[in-house]
Amino acid sequence: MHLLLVEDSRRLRDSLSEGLSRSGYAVDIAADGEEGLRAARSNAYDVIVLDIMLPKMDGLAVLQRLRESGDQSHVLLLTAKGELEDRVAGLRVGADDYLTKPFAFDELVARIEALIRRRYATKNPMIGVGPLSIDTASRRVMRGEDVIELTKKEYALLEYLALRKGEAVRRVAIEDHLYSEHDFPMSNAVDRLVCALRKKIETEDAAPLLVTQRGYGYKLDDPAE
Amino acid sequence: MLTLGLGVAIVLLGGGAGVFVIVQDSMLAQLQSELEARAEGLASQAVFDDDLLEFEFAKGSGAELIEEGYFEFRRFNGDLLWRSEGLEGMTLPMRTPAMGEMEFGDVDLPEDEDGRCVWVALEPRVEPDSGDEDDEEEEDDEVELPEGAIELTVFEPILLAVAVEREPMDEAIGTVLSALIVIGALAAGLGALLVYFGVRWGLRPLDTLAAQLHGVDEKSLSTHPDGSGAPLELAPVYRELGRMLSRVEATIERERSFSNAAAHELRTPLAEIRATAEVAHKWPDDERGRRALDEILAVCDELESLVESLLLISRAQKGETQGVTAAGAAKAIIAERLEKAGDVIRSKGLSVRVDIDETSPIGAPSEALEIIARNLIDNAVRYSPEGGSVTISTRAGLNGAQSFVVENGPTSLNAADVDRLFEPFWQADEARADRRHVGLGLTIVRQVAAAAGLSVRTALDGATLRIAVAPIG
Repeated sequence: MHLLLVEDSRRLRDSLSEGLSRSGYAVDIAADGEEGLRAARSNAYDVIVLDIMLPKMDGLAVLQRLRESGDQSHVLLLTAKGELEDRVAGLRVGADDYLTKPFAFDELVARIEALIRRRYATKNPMIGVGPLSIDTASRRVMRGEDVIELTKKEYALLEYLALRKGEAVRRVAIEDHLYSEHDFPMSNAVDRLVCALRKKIETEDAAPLLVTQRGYGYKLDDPAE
Repeated sequence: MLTLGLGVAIVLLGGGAGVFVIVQDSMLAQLQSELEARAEGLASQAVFDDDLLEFEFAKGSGAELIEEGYFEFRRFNGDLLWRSEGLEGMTLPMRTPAMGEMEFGDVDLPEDEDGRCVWVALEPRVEPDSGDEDDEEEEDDEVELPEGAIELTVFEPILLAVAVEREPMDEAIGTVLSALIVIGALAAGLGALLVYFGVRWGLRPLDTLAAQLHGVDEKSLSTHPDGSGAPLELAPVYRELGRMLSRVEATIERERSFSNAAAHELRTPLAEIRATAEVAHKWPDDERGRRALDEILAVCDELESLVESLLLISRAQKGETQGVTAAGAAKAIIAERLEKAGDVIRSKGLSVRVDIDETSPIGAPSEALEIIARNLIDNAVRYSPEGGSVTISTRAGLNGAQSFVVENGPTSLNAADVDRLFEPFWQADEARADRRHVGLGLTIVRQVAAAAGLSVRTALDGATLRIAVAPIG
């Protein structure tokens, strides 16, 4: 999944972006409100993690501009201001969630996951696709009782396609959701990733789960449905 | 209430005593007037006729005077000339007033009666000769003198003492006194009640005010006591209380804002420590771990600096409030700060000018000046762009004490920014990325200056920011 992290504190920005990247997210970063607004308007992010106290334009102003332009990105506000009126103000401007500093990294990740599920209209952290069980909370994939070991990118691809189960997803959309602005994937990176994922999740004696939509993209679906 | 009651009691007592004295004096005067009349009447009865002092009352007229009155006629040597029967042989005390004068005094009368007496010195009326026939008639009227009395055959001034009983007057005075006591007691009791209830009623507005103030706490300071029904005399009290509560509310709001801002500023470094440590813990490797620990130590330094700044602000409020700093000592403080900032000055290529008038002291206590100079100079150096300038100078001020001025530029601050310079934790946008400085330096300057009785003025002269600290005059 593709995240935008807008935070002026260098240390916090670096730590969170590294942690989120290692958690399997593609993370773009911005250090002030104007840069954050530009990035949010340029890309489709699954979740925007937005600090409120930002230079040049504060987080609430950024959020307000996004909502006024019709942007429906899910936004999680980060701030040191934890008073009730501050939380209410943030939510009323259009935030989807609010986290007060200091916070546990695991809680940040859990809230991001919840927003992603909401984005893809599912409340269940467990996604079933044919014989596969994908636990989005623990990032574990099972076929029956067997755990399937996936790389971070493979899991990210599987999760993204599973959340859009039954939909044909464009290749460029997959690329946007898997790679950050700092990544420079090769032109066939998505294809190679799909190929690698297929080898792990599909078996020779079963119908394929990951189907190529020639000239368009890919679709993950349960062949029995 | 006690004072008022005591005052009323003293007034009543004094008034009553005054009335009593007046009444008593009046009655005594009346008595003495009666005595005077009696004395005059008796004096007219003393006639010197044919070389003999005679008393006409002894011859028939004024018999009741002889029997009922209390009087004596005497010679100046004390010889008795006549004593009334009413005295029953008692002797009145003798006094010798001047001719034509009267003396009054208290005397004892028969049967243990108290009396009031008047003494008069007089010359008997001289009866002119009226012929032999009258003399023959007079020789026939021989008068029996009272016991001990002598005949006076030589014309000379004589003394008359006339007394009357005091009892009627004393009874009347006693009645007046009793009446005054009763009336006074009633008046005192009634007065006490009136004072008590009057004062209670009069103090009701204060009770109302006290009840209103009792309900005021830090959450309701904006609700000022309602003086709409209070007496006009209390209007200034309500007004000033309202103003005082507004000042207290503003102070509490400032403290609350400061605390909120301080808490906010503490939360971000804590979030940095936590995120850095958690990520390093989750994905441990030596290099990441070392970097994380370095970052955490740096944040701890920043937190320590923040805490010191907060404590400095607190201490500044109890700081020295008077004094000046010798120009030489000020120059030493400035030189020390510039030396510490030397690396930044050189790296930015800043031009620094120091212009201190060494003939006059600077109008600030030295401890305050050190803190003010440190923060102003550090700010000026930090926020001047590359190639900028910093000027540290003094200006002539009041009473021979100079003001302390720091200028730096060119600055990107605008007028609105300058108005906010001293707000706790406020920083211009470009400064906020540097977590080593949290925007308390100028707040410290203002607090320290205020505690030392100094004013801090800012001005934007084109692109040059000027901050001047001077004694309040």
